[in-house]
Amino acid sequence: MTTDPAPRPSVTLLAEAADWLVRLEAAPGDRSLGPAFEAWCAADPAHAAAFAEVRRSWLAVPQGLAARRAAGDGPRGLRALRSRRALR
Amino acid sequence: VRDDDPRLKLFLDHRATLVDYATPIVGDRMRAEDVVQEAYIRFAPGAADGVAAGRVAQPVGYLYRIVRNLALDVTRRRQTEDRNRLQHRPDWLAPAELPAPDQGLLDRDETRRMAAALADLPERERVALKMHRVDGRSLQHIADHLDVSVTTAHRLVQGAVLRLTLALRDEDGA
Repeated sequence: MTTDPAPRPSVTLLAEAADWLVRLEAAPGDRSLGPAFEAWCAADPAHAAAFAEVRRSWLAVPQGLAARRAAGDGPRGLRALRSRRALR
Repeated sequence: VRDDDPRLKLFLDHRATLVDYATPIVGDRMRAEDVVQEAYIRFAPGAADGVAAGRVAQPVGYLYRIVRNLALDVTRRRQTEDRNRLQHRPDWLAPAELPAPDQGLLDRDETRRMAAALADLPERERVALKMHRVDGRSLQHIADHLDVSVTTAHRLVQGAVLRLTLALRDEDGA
């Protein structure tokens, strides 16, 4: 992949992008959101980048769920997955 | 490739950001790359539009405008093609189909982190996310099911998406 010179979108921006994603997903018939969303995307390339990032995880949810099932639905499978993460 | 050409240099400087910019409009990175490439052809010296580019006061803005217009064209064209299947989707979500399971969106490590993050989600966020993303339930339906307001249902899904996004970043460094 090419290196991206743009800084990664801030968490605040990701939260904003996630808000947009849910608004758009929740009201698929609502075309009135379109211009506002496009204006938000166009206002700053970081906005568009943030949206691309949250959308990617949104699209990948089924893949993650499938992996969870593959790892075993039982507590052992989940614990194994969890133990690999640092505690916060 | 002559890198003394200022327009090429400008294009190369903005290329990655332009792809990020076009991705949410066209729906995926590969199409975004195509759009950005096509934009350069129009932007480059010698192209009919490129001649005009030499005169515009804001070449960067002009470049973004070309990308945006091309991306919207691509989306519109695809939307026309997919109309029957995706009629209920707004334009910018039209190319929402998932890749085949054997060519998933995430690499192995990301898949593991996504699975772990899903397991770590607060219960209500996981339920809300799954109902909305997988079962296609409305926020109203989720709100009724969890006995919360629609606004809360919205925040639960939003919070889940945000956590998963951050989890995918975890090991990227910063």
